[in-house]
Amino acid sequence: MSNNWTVEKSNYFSEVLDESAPAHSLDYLIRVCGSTAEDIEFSVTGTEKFKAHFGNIFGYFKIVRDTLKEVILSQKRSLEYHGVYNAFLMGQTSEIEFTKIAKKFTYKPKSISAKILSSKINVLFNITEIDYSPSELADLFHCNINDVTTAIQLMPGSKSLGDSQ
Amino acid sequence: MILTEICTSIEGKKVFLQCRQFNPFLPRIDPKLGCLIYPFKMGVSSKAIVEEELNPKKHKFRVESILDKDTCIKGETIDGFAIKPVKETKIIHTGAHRGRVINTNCFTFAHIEIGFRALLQKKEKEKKK
Repeated sequence: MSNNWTVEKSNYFSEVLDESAPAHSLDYLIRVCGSTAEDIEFSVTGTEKFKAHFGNIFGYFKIVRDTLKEVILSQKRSLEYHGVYNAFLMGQTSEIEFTKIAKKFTYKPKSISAKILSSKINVLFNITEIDYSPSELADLFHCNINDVTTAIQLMPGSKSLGDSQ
Repeated sequence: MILTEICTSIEGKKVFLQCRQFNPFLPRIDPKLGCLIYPFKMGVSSKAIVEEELNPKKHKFRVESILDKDTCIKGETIDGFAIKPVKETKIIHTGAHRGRVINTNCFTFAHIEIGFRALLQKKEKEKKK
């Protein structure tokens, strides 16, 4: 081992996570580590394996980001609706006026696949550790309560959920 | 008749609701009824009583619902909806406790909600069986 090695710039590996890059039959990543030139160790891994590992992480965080975005937008809408509803309760708006405004907040329940909904609920539970009720979840994800109950039953067992209560 | 079992539901033309926590949810179009509904969730000592039966006395939303007058459901949380905005609320005092009383004047559905964990445990129990 000579000490005059140069560290390649990170863009040398840029094609590792580039889907459009051509596939090679021989494609490995080599890790070189050590504190001195004498104790350097090499480890080798297949590029595809490496890519799949990071692909899974990015995939998971995309679900997390999308779920949180959906929940935050939904909560904001609910807050606005509560403001309007409070005004109605206090008699500041008539029922006709309130019904007109409420129509702007109305949604038609989406039909989401039970599997996708289940992963969203799982993500939300793992992040917040809040035991949302099925009706709250239906309100958050704009879907039917029956779809929520089906999705919850597809979730991993309660043991994996920890003990937040 | 007072019912406390989870998933019990009532339907009525006029329903009396009582709770100490009332959360309205976003209105939505119900595919079964085909109209706009105003969902809600009641918490902390909540109950719902059929004050006036449906005419004709037929299920509109859930076939398992109880339609008889004076049927009362009690639960930790009750979810449901009315087809008109719920407004007439009164605060009542019973001894040291206060509660909110709501009388609906339109078709109302109320249901004792099953909790998140109870639902998961139900699944596990069913698996064991």
